[in-house]
Amino acid sequence: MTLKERPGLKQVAPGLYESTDGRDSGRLTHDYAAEVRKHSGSRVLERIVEKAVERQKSKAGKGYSL
Amino acid sequence: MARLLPVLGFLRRYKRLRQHDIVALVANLGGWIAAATLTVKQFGSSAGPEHAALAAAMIVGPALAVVEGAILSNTQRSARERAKRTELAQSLVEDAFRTAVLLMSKCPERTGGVVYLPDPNDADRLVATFIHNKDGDPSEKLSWNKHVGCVGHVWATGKQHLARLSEATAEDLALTWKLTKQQIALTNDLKTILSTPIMSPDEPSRMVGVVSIDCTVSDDECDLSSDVASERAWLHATTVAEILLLAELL
Repeated sequence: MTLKERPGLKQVAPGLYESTDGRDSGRLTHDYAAEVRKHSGSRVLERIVEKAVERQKSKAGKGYSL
Repeated sequence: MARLLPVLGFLRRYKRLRQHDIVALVANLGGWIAAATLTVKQFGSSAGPEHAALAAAMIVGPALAVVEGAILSNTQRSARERAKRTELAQSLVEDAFRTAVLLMSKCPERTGGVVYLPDPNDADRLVATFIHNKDGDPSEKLSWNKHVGCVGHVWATGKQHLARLSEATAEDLALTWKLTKQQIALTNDLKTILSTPIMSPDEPSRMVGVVSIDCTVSDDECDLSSDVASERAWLHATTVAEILLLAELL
């Protein structure tokens, strides 16, 4: 399957493809926080991601969603 | 209505006034009004419209000077503070890029990235604010308007875009992508670009910038077009948004 035929990608100009997928995959997780720690070695950044995950969860509990 | 827009744009500058500026202005206004009143009273019953105009000028003139001075001072101070916060956020953004590039690209050493944020003087234009793995790269000279280049298309549509530059001719870049000769020259070494919108953590429907991951090798080698890379790019954009929020850069 070529890139032009791939689901989720629409060609809008020669060589330029627009994603037609939603952005649910942008939701941070504890797993991603662990990956950040593993690859960057930054505990501060890991903590920032963790806090964002907690905040997203608390907002989701109040009927808020991305 | 269209005629009112420039006026409204001008009035927006007054949002830059801080509380202590307004207190100082009100305190001064009292003095100016008293001085103007005394001046008019000196003329007694002979005071005419020209004296009233003089009194008004004695109040409005200094008030405008104080307000404009405060706006200028606050604008300069805000720019300095923003530059400091940007510097502090730099290392965190670097760490986020390091993770993202390792997870997204099969050629991490040939892959770099740029976070583009709105120009403080022109909210429709994006300027390079954070740059990763691009020593001597000209990205900091680059800026993008809506619908121009891969970044500009993201800025206009709010959707992730992938560019495979080997598929575009020089004519395509100039006509369809709307790149200038300078932009074509400055991005000449790039072969693949994956640009993702940065959404505000507080208002998920509001786009606050664009993060771009680019590679100097073809997509077949770096695989930035894969679903995994796309998903990781979204996670990276969300992480960058959190850093920007923390650094008060949104």
